[in-house]
Amino acid sequence: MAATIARACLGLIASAACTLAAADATEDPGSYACRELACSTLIPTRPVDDPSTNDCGYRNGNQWWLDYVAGSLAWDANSSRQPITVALFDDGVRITHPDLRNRIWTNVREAQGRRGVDDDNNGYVDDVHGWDFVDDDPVVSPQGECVKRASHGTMMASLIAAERNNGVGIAAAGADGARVMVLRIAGCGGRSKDRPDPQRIVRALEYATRMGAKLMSFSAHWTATTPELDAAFAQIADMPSPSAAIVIASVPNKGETQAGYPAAYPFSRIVRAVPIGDGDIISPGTSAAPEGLNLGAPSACVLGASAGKSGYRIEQGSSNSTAILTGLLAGIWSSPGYARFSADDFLAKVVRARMLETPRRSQPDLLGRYPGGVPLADACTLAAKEKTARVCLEPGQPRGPSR
Amino acid sequence: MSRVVPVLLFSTALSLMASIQTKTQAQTSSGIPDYFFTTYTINRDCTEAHAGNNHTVPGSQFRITRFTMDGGQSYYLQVLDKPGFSWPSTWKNVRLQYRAGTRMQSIPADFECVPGAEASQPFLAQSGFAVSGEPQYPYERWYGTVQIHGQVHHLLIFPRNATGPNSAAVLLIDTDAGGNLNLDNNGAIVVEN
Repeated sequence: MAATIARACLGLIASAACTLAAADATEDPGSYACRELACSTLIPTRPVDDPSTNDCGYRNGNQWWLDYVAGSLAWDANSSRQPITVALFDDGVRITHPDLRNRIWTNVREAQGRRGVDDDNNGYVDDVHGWDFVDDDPVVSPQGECVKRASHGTMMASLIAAERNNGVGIAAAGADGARVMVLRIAGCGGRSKDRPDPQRIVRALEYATRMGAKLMSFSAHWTATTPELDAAFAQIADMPSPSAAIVIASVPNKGETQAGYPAAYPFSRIVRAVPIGDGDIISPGTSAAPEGLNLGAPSACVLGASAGKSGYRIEQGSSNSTAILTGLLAGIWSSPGYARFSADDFLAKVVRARMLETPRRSQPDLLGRYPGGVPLADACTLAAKEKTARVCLEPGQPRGPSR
Repeated sequence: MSRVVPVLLFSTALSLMASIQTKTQAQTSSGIPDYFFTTYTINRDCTEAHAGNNHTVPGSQFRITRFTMDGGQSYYLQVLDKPGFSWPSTWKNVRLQYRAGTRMQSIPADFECVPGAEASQPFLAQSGFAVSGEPQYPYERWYGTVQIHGQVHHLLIFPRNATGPNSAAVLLIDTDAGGNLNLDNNGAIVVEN
């Protein structure tokens, strides 16, 4: 039976505000009894008591979506884990954020190289954590007009890879398995150069491919494309290639009839994140998308990192669904037993064979664009390894396996 | 690129005013529910500060009125000025059309509003959040277009039918898609009730 999204956004907000202010405090889980829940019956929205993490946002039940996708199953302290490089195409990331500073991809040759020199000869000088394709420089954190603003990209990076067990903030499904390559393709100022353009995206795609990104996350969409942009996506997401990657594309929920690109591409390695709202219903206003690798993931009332003063904020939208799904895929793909898979193998053996076949499905959307609903993304493919997510129950509820 | 963001405003009707409206509003022959004509009071403003002032402010009020002309009915957004606040002229007498759909019983979580300065997402003001054609949502609603700061916006008003004070979500979306890249958050958010 599908778990149902049930949440009280206001309560979540109030709780988040106080618990995040007390981020350094050690939480006492003693008031909750814990039990193991089998993956297929995982019911979210309960505060989680996972002793392997002390992130206050998670420990206080403010990350309901992480349970919803069984994201903690993707955690593994196994040293053999091989983190996946995730290219994040967005408006930049505050890479010094405490939940992100250890989860940002690092180009070792540039990090250990000489300043001002293109040590790895890739055409980009000092590209230690990615590249700013707006200003054409290596500074990928918010800058200029973007300073002190919330930063969409910072939020997305945290939903992909926020560090767990660091005593602050939140945790992400990809905490152990994702390293975020920051590709700044959109500015936050009003200048014409801040406006994303296809040529810039093509350059960023080429960079991500060259530097080994296996997942490419787009919490964004656009309605017009070019032959060059189409070709770049086809190269990455459709054609046989040793450098093949998986593109995770948001299906927007702003009332548009069609999803826009890159979700609209019919390519075999495009995974689309369909936003899921209340009661497992596809979010109001969600666009139509091609049939294929469409997975539902939570969109509303999601707490994540901010580049602004408070450090965290709550947001709605299919952006969140995309980042959560990206982190989940990274967490799974990086796990022992999966890490050796190519992109096509991972899609065939994990996404198609397991995730798309989950018994957990969303309700149909109210516009009839997804009459059978969509599979709900979760990490249950890892349950074959006898893993379970640990969920706290309120005192007095029965212990023991749930099935 | 647009400097004006998609704005999601939540407004809630004063319960007293709602009850008055219920008594004075007749059932429409067009099948539009009575509660679509409630007077609403904006209780939170989702407008980003730098996106320009006077989208609206908390405490300002609006209602939808109808006029019978040539045997048919037309519907208009009637904004109510008050001491200390005047609605921008472009908001006045915006013509609306009724769009049938599912009755909204509760505000969807994806329409929910979160208080706090950072929830207002200033970055979206530059992200080109825009939809060229009329946005499609499953809920019955009012639809019109309004010009704000020189930009034409879709205006969608989703009245909610529920016990207790009526409320509505008001959504503004820039019409100038223009091939822009959109960061896929839903827009600024505020809370009612």
